[in-house]
Amino acid sequence: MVDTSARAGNKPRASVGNAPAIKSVASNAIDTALVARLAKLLQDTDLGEIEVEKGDLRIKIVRHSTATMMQQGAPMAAAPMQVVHALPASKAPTSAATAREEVVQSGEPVPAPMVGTAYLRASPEAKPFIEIGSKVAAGDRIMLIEAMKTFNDILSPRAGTVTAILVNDGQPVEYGQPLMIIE
Amino acid sequence: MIEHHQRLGSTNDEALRRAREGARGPLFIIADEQFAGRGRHGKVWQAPPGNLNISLLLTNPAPVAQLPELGFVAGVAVHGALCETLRDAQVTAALKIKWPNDIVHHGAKLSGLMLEAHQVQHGVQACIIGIGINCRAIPDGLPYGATHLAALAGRAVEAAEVAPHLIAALGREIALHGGGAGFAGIRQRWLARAAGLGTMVSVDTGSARRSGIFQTIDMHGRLVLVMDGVEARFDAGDVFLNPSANTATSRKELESQ
Repeated sequence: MVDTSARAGNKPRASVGNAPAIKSVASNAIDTALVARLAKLLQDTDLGEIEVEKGDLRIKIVRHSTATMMQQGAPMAAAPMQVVHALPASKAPTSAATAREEVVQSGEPVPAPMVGTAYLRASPEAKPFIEIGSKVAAGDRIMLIEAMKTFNDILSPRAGTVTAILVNDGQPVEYGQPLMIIE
Repeated sequence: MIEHHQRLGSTNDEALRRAREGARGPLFIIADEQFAGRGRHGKVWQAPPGNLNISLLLTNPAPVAQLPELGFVAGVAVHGALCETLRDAQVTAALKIKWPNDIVHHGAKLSGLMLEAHQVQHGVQACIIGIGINCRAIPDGLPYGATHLAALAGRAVEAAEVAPHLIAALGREIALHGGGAGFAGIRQRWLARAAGLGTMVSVDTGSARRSGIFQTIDMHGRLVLVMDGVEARFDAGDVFLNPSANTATSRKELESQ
């Protein structure tokens, strides 16, 4: 029964929350397809906000909901649930917050191989494994995912340049969720 | 294969080094002395002389998404090994597994685990289970209660006495896990030995501390707490047991919900 609720509880999590609020600071026509793509990325990745620049166009998409609560009576859910993940003590600015114009350009996402908590650094005091613009080789360590005190290295599947980091340090991730984009 | 070293920085680091050199395991690395032991997320694991420091290297022991289950497999194995070492039923009845895999005696920590998974080559996932057991000493200045086997047994307990029990128990539980197909059985064995099940516990996630009734672990091994009718699940964090909790009473409360 609990297992069933776990499965049921997980699925709606990525899409929980209000529709993303769209703030644009544009000086020319807005690329609606780009906005739609960003909004989907925001929901898929559980990020709080994404900001991009393309030419002199700048778009910022913010999601207001932070809760991951389910209401009682949801299909197959035994009880309302909340998934809580660890956050590191340090509050250093993350690369995701500074992701800019490269975000929606070409490149392949790196998916999370398991459910857990993503870390961008080996310990709260350590330097991040990678930053936006970092050149990586196939097999380089780009992230850690902790699940039940098991630490799993996430390696770059290919050589390239990190163009977007789609999770914050200490953020919960679901199976298959895009972690970063490597061009 | 079992390797015994007098002194190593970290048995986990040595196991990883060997995996990168081509070792595929099962390989046990034991060190009498470990001077750079590591704990969760950059914490130091102190290992005073006389305690057991051991790492087990396995290759592709389960699908990647199920590797965290090995922590529960190892937790049940360490519990079994400590029961076989201590034998006294009165003492072993109070040995429990604190989520996800510390062994405690009336809440005092006896052993700790840290697991790491590294892809050492395409398609080759090295999984390293690092285990530290307090045989005759506890480190100074710990922020939590701890004890050691000699104190519980009322006699000297050597690391060399515990190691064979542990190696056998790991083999047994890994076989039960069956590469992931048997996790439901491991989960049941874990729950039967769980510390604080049905009582109020707290979880410190690094950014916040949350309390609730410890209801169960889910199909992934996540800790399930219930607070005011709301269920919360945790995949990372430090658990604090309530020393005054009465398990029987709390279980009744849980059933009446």
